[in-house]
Amino acid sequence: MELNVKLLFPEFFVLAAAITGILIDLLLPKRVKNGFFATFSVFVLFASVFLVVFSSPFVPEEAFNGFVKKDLLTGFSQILILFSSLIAVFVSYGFLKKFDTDHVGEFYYTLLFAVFGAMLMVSANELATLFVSLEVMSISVYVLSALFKKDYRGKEAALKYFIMGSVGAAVIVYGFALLYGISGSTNYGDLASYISTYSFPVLLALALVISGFLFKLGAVPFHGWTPDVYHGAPTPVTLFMGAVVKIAAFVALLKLFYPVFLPLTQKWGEVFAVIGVVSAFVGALMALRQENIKRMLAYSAISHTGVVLTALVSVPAVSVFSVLFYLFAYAFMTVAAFGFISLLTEKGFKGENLSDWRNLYGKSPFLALSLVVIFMSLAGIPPLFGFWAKFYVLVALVKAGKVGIAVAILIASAISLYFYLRPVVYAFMKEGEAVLPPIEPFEFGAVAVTVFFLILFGIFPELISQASLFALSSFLRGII
Amino acid sequence: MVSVILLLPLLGALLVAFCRSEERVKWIALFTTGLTFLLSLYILFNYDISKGGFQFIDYGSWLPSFSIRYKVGVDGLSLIMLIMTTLISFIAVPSAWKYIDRKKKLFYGLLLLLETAMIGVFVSLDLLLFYIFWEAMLIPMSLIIGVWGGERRIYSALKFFIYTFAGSIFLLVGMIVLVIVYGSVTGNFTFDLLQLSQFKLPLELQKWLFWAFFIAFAVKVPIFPFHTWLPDAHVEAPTPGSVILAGVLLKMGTYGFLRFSLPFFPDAYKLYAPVVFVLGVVAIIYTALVALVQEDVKKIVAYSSVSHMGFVMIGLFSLNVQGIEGAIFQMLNHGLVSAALFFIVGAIYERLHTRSVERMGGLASFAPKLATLAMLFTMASVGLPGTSSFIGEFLTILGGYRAAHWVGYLMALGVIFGAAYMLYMYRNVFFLEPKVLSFKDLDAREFLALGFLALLVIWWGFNPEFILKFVHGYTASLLGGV
Repeated sequence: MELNVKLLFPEFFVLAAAITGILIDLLLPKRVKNGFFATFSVFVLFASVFLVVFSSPFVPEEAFNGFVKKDLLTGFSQILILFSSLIAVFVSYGFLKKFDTDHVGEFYYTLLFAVFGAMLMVSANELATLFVSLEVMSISVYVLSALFKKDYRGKEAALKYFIMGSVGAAVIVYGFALLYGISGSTNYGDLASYISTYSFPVLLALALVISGFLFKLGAVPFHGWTPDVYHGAPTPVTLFMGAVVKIAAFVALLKLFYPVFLPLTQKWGEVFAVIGVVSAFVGALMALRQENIKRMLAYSAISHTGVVLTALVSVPAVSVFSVLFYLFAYAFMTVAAFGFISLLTEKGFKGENLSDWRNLYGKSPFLALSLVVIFMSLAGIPPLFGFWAKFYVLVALVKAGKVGIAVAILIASAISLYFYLRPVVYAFMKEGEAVLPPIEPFEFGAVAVTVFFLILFGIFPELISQASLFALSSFLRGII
Repeated sequence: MVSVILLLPLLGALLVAFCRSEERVKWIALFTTGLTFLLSLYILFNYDISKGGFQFIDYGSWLPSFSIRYKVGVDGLSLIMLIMTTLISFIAVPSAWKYIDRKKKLFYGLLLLLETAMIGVFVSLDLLLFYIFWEAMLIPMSLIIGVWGGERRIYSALKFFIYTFAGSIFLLVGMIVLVIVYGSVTGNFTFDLLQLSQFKLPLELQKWLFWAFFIAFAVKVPIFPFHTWLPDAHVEAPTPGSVILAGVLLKMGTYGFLRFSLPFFPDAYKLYAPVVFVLGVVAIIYTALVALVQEDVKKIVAYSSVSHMGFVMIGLFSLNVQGIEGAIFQMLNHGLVSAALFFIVGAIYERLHTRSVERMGGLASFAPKLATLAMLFTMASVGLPGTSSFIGEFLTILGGYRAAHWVGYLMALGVIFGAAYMLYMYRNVFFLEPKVLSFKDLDAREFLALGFLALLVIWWGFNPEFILKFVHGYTASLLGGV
């Protein structure tokens, strides 16, 4: 055992940058803050992408006496986290120009803290590390939601998210405590050797940990907070929640469940499949009548989470592959969708409702066509990125012999097609005037790039497939 | 070569997107679709009939990690569908010339994207590639209906999109099941059409998969009782949209039956043929009766499509040479005739701004050219000898008769009803007392487009062998396996 500090270099870099951000914030005059901190964060995130690329090992490596373990699953999910955060920063830059806050510096460095938490979360190999990193991320996001002036909605969302999130965290930590009680260790490797039987404490711990994760992921029956929080939080923060928090939680789930609860795979796989199908339907049905697009996307997120969860019922290797691929697609789509909404948002929460998008094509053909790409990708229409994500989940399900579940999630996706088409209907087919605030070039560029990726990876999904396969084989080396 | 045809409209769409002038896009679209049509003719004349099978195959690795390949090529069936698609797309541009008066760039861009997707459906030799084109086509088509359509356009566009998508769900799952079963038996995971069609599935699985594929294709054809999206979509769509819907889209379903259902599940196909006969006969007679009482010209033509596709379906499931060749011929022929009829209905609507039969009448005295061509296509739709429809209907009825006598009798009854509603419509629109004060005859653009279709309808009516010679080999090899 050794410290192997250099393995955690990317995380420490982000952390150091965030702390430096606190110091710089004290020195700068307010008017330059937005520009400076945005540039600073972009630089930090770009640099960490390179650090992650160069420090992620194919053969899993441990550091801090097994507190963290890195493999390519960690590496790729960190890149995805950094990419989503990068888009979040670009979008925030435009958003902060439109909406007033006294806490410009805080906004960016809290974002960096959240990124640090997420990055540590996907490399955690020990229960306490997992919990601490989860809380670093969550608390930063609570703070981020409440930073804007006169934004009563954001403050309400922050409080709601905080209270509900704490309950979720408490449930997880109780599960962890039980696990520690059973095995006397918090390390995944040690835990695994104790959990081979179906004893009651193990099942109880499993149930608590599953509930806690479902809570963080926003799956039925713990989804109640999602619509309010997604709707209320400032759009760039929603973007961050939708993409980064989800990636971190899912990857942490894979990294915890496969090594530790491997003998019980069948059991929790089926639990996730049932919950997944229910989530997919609940999300799809609840989204049908939403007029606010952020709320609609919150329900759509519940539905997508459900689809990903069903994939866990398959053979471990196939599950991990399809979950990771789905996360790639989902992160790109979420980032694009919320970035798009933020681009159209004006003071007084204008531009978030379907009726504000009437005849968007008349105002800006490019934006309207991007909208088609984003929402059709979310609906899973080929040849867009979202289709492949759905396709791989279906392959995973059919491989496991669960054709019924495959049909069920496709029926849910046919239902959700209706609400994904509504923005298209409003933007192209209805008469009226769209709200179109002055476009921020950086924000616009970020959205355009992600939209381009949705098409590119839709036509050439091989790159992402290969990445997911590499991540998978690297991850499997760690558990077998 | 096939790839060039496939990508050319896409390139045209990009050109349209970057074109600055709203007027010039028409010409780009006309030129692109024309060139695509010419290239497909080149393939038609260079296809080696004596060799048969798939030719002009292009392939490359696309998704090697899942052994999904980009593979396109044409055999006799695909070739005929390809010619039909490029021809109808080429005709759709002049039909849109004046009708589409706003957002022209968007329209022609979508039209060209749609053409690529439609061509892709007919030339894909990989299951997943086929599925991608099959679904991708929905976005441009429903936008065309929804943006330029009539009063209830949004409802119709959504209905079309969701209905077809819901049908395709089972196709996707069915495909994955097929591929995984094939992979577990042979140890070879592939989506390649040719390899999969060599594979003999157990009957129990065939039955399930047959229905999974059936629903997707049946919605697209559409077969009674899945046809309810069609009148809405056809009536509300703008003229070029209806032309493409009737001309090409409906054939995707029947093409699917021939290309996938029959080779993959021959036993289930044979087993369930009687079910399709019943549905087909109901479609022929029921929708003909429905068409008889419609007031809206476009609705009459729309229901006639459902009725005619019933003939195609019965031909396909009759499982004899006459039936299948007749069905293929009828697919092509219905493509031409219904496209022409929608073109004519659109031309009348542009001038009168109504589609109600009651408010027309006596148009023949104002517009002799239109009336003559309309007469020709009405007769073609009825199945008059000398037009290509006669060949198609005759062969499918013969096929149906050979499969089961009662089917043949009832199909023939359907022909009579068909004559009734078409002639009734023609009389009310073009003869009787004139109810309009003035009416402009066809202009050169419309005349050329319709005249071209008319020539083909008559030429193929007298010389069906020109088309059928491409499918003899295909049908023989198909039926050899049953």
